[in-house]
Amino acid sequence: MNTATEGHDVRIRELEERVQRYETWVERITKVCEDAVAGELESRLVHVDRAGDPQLERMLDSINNALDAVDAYVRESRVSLDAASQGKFFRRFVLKGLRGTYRHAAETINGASQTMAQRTHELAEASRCRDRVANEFEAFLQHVVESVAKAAHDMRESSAHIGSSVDGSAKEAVSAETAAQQLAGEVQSVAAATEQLSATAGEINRQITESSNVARGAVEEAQRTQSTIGDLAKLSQTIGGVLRLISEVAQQTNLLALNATIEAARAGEAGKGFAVVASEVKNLAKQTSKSTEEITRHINAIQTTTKASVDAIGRISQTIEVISATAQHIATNVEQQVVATRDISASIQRAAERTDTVARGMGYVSSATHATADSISELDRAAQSLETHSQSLRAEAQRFLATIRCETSGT
Amino acid sequence: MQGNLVRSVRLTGRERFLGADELIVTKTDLQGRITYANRVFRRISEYSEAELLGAPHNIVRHPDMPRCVFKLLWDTISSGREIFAYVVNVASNGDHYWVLAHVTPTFDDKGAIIGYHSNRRMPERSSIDNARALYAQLNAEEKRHSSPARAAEAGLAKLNALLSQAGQTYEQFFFTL
Repeated sequence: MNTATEGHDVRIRELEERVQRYETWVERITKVCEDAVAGELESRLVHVDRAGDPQLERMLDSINNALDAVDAYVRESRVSLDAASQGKFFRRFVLKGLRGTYRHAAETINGASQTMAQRTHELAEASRCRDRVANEFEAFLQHVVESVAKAAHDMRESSAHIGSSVDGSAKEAVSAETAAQQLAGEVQSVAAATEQLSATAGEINRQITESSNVARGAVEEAQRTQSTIGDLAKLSQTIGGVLRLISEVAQQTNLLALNATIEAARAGEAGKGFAVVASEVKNLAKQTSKSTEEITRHINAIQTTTKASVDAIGRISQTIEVISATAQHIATNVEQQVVATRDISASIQRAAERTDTVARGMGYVSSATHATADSISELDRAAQSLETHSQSLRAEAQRFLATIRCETSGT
Repeated sequence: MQGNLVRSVRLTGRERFLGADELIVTKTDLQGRITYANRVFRRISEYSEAELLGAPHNIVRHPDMPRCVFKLLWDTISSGREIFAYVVNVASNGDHYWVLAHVTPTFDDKGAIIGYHSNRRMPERSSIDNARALYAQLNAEEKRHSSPARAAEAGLAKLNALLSQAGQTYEQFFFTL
């Protein structure tokens, strides 16, 4: 009885202890399960070998195994998908150790990962292709833009060069025009001077002709004077002849007076009065002879003077003729000069006309040069615009390339 | 103390095998002390749960494992990344077994590492052979250095040299093993 009762008591104690252990484990299990439900997969049932009950121990292990399976699945899916998102497709979901639904789900993930890898590969291939196209396009565009930019630059340089040349030409044209205008003015002055010279030459010619006429008159006058003096010489010679006659008459008278004296002497007293008359006649004859001699001397002097006058007038006449001839020569020369001056004047007139033409031409050149300068400015603006356009083309193309290369804006 | 325990194990040269669908699961704290060991682990390592809980994970370390593999393992997981490694372990009776270890950090809500988790699976035979050949090379390098730290550095340098020679990352390299 007692033994039986004791046996029962032991059994009851054992059962009570067992119930207590179970209650303890149920509490722990509940905690672990609640953690698992909350996504806290770290909690496990430990010290299961202290459960002291093989059946309980197996149950606890089973709960842990279930949690381990879920934990393994979650860790694998997290890591393998993370790797796939980073393009590390070699990192597959490790199937080993997984069973049933876990394994099927893992296989599905690996299939998706495989597809993703394939797509990524294709995408990379497409991207490489697109990049190649973009690079080729960029290189081509770069070439085009550089060519255009270079052309525009060259154009601007050329237009600047032409511009400076045109500026130079314009300046040259303006100075040429000014010079031509100055020349025209100077030519006009020369023409006027030539005109004046021509007029002066005419005046000189007229005066020379007049002086020539005067000289001719003088020569004629001299010739008339010479002839008058020649008449005078002839007249003196005639007077000389008369004087010789008077002188002979006086000598004859003297001789007759001498004879009368002698006859008077012979007639003595009777002859004395006669002798006085004879002597008076003799004195008169002597006086006549003396006067005649004196007149002859004067006539000779007149004749000498007259001859000298004739010679002098001849020489004057000759001189005047030389002067006249010279004046004539001068007149001829002046006439030639007048003709030459007229020629010069005409040439200068023509030169003046041509200078006008040159000046007008220079005016045209000048305005043409201005027009050219305007055109060059337009050309330069066009080249600038070309440069701007090529730059915006480049920028636009860069944006396009950035877009097709899927670069984010701002990078 | 646990280190002494490892060294006290006499190797038998016998190999044990993990089942194809079996999974060894352990969890450790940040210092590598075991906080959870599942039944499969307790069975293949022949340690009781009481012996394992709180023990350092290198309780099952086999002397054929190069130091640099564990250095790489700790460097990787402590920086928040997962790692795969072929590992040979030793059971308490001196038998050994190969596993494909996958170690991942465990994060809290804020992303801080609060512990580590290791799943071990049955490796392919060919992979074991490749790993064994590689580890022989690394061990040869490590044996040239007396200091364990120096040896681990040298082994890692050798491993990196082999990787750069193959033009691969460790991850890529691992999956080719």
